[in-house]
Amino acid sequence: MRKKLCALLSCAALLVGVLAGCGGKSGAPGGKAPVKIGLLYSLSGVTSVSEKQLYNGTKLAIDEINAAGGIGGRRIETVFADYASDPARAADKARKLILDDKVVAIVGTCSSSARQAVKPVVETNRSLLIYPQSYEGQEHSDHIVYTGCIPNQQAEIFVNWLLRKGYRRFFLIGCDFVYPQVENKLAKEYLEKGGGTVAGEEYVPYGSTDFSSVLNKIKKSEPDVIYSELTGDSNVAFYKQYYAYGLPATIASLTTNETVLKSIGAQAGKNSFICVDYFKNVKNSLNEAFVKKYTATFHDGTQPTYAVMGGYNAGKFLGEALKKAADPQNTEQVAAAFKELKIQSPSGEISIDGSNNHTRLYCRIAQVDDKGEANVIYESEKPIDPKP
Amino acid sequence: MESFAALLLNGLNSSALILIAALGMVIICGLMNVINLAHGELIMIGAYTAYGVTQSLGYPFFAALPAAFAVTAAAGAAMERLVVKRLAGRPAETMLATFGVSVVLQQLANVAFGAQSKYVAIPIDGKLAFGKVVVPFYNLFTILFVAAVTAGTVLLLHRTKFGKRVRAITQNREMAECLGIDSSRVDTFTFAFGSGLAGLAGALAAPVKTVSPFMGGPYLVNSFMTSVVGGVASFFGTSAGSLLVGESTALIGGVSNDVLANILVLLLIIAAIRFRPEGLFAKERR
Repeated sequence: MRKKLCALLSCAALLVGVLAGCGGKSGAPGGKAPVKIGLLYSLSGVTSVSEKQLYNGTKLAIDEINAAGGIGGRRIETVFADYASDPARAADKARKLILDDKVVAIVGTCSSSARQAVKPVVETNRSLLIYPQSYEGQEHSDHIVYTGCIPNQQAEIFVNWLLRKGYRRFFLIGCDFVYPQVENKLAKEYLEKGGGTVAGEEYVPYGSTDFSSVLNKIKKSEPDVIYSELTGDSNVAFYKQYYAYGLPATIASLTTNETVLKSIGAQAGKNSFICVDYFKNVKNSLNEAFVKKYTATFHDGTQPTYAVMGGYNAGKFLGEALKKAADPQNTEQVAAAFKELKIQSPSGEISIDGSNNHTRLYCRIAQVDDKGEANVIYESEKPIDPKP
Repeated sequence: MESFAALLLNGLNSSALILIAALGMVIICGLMNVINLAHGELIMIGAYTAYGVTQSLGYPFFAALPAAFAVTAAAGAAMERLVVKRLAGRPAETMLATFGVSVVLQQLANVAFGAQSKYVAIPIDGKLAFGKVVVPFYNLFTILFVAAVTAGTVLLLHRTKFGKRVRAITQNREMAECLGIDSSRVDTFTFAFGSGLAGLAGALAAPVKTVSPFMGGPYLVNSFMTSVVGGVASFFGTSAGSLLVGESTALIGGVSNDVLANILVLLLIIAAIRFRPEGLFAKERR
């Protein structure tokens, strides 16, 4: 009898607690309840290097918006979920953010594998994902806004620029997953149109740091340029080993950034080319202020890179969309607010293309000097329309 | 023909790095019968020590090697006293505990240093080039250094009193204790020595690979496979095993591609273990 009473009492207490908690969440009717968004990034595992930068950028943007008054007086509250570089876990965490935490939108994921795992989750639950990373394109969803650059804004311009500079024989290299495979397929199309040739095409296991056989193949095929989409540890190891072998061809990368340049040292990156939408050394007043703010805020060894800018732009676009929507807690209205949305970013004045949910971005090419700094040597005149 | 020679030489470099990583595992797993899942993280400690000594303190790389050995040996000794000793004779629990240690070490490094790879300068510039064959001088140094360390380890275990004690404990622990050998102390030193070797592997790899919190995983897998294929507790077997793994990966990778090479080498290892489970060059055990 006593045991039954105890059990009943504890159940009642639990129920009261849960109800009280629920009541607290909804807050006063029509009051200043914060707007909840989800941040889905990895702080451990293979992609955590890039994701920390994406996360820093998004956090900076959200803090700026909150400091400037938030969304009509309401704070943006971020719910963070760490998926540890595991695409399956990314899908689970996304589900939790949408169904349990009831976020209006999620900013996050990095690798294409993670994004493709989360895509069905946001589509089935009619939510919204802001995807901040540059990727291989060829995808569309009414429930995803893509704020990173895609091949026609990056690779196509880069390959043609290299061809114009006299590099004819391309050795294509990447890790073995969807992003490099699609990028290389497109690169081969651009080369065929532009009159270049493919000296070789190699894929290394994801995360592999041993390039001895690849370097041998490069030596044998004598290319003019190494066209690389290597990421993470593989990218760092490749630059270092390539430098040790002292081969003559220049490295041209779609993925390297200032943080990677710090990891490989000034010698290994010298004279190589990088093509992305943003560099730390972009010269405008907004960017100079941004770089100062970033280096003052974050002391975790990361640099202001295109990954940081991708995360920052994603956060800024979401903030503007939340302001523009009549009800910032209504995901469909927020998604509609993204169409042709324009912001002033340190990477220039950029806007969302309403027809495909991608972003019009500048294309920039930089060359690394002997101090390991990436200096912009080409910038597109205006933002380029995305054609996924 | 020339590119074949180039492949062989570069495969030798991969084999050297695999060997020194596996050597520590062979000592801990083979001689002490402990499955240490934090082996990759010991390699990581060696790599970060090399970074600290060369970049933060500014000493030359050749000071980083003994420093990496010492620091990782100390870490290994601590791990042995605090974790492994208390779970002696229970392999499943030891595996679980060392796995926990590995996760803790990874996250500690992530918090302390950040996830970006740290820069360690290649100490020897330049390469040897004859015909179509290119071998960086640092690769040659790696091969020679690892050969010296392996020889030194064999000498330590077969020509010194300490080595005799270790071998005695491996063959028959109770009898060795009856004869007055303090098996507990020898265990700690053996584990520390194996860890120190792992630290050397990390320091050697640091200039040409990466120094990051999650770098240890691939090394762990490779070390396990190599020591099992060669015959746990046999140094000759481990050397042969690492040569086999390194050269096959290089040669197959040279002919087709690295992804296929990984798959085929793994299949070869599975076949080898299937037909000789004790390893290709296993020693007699009583």
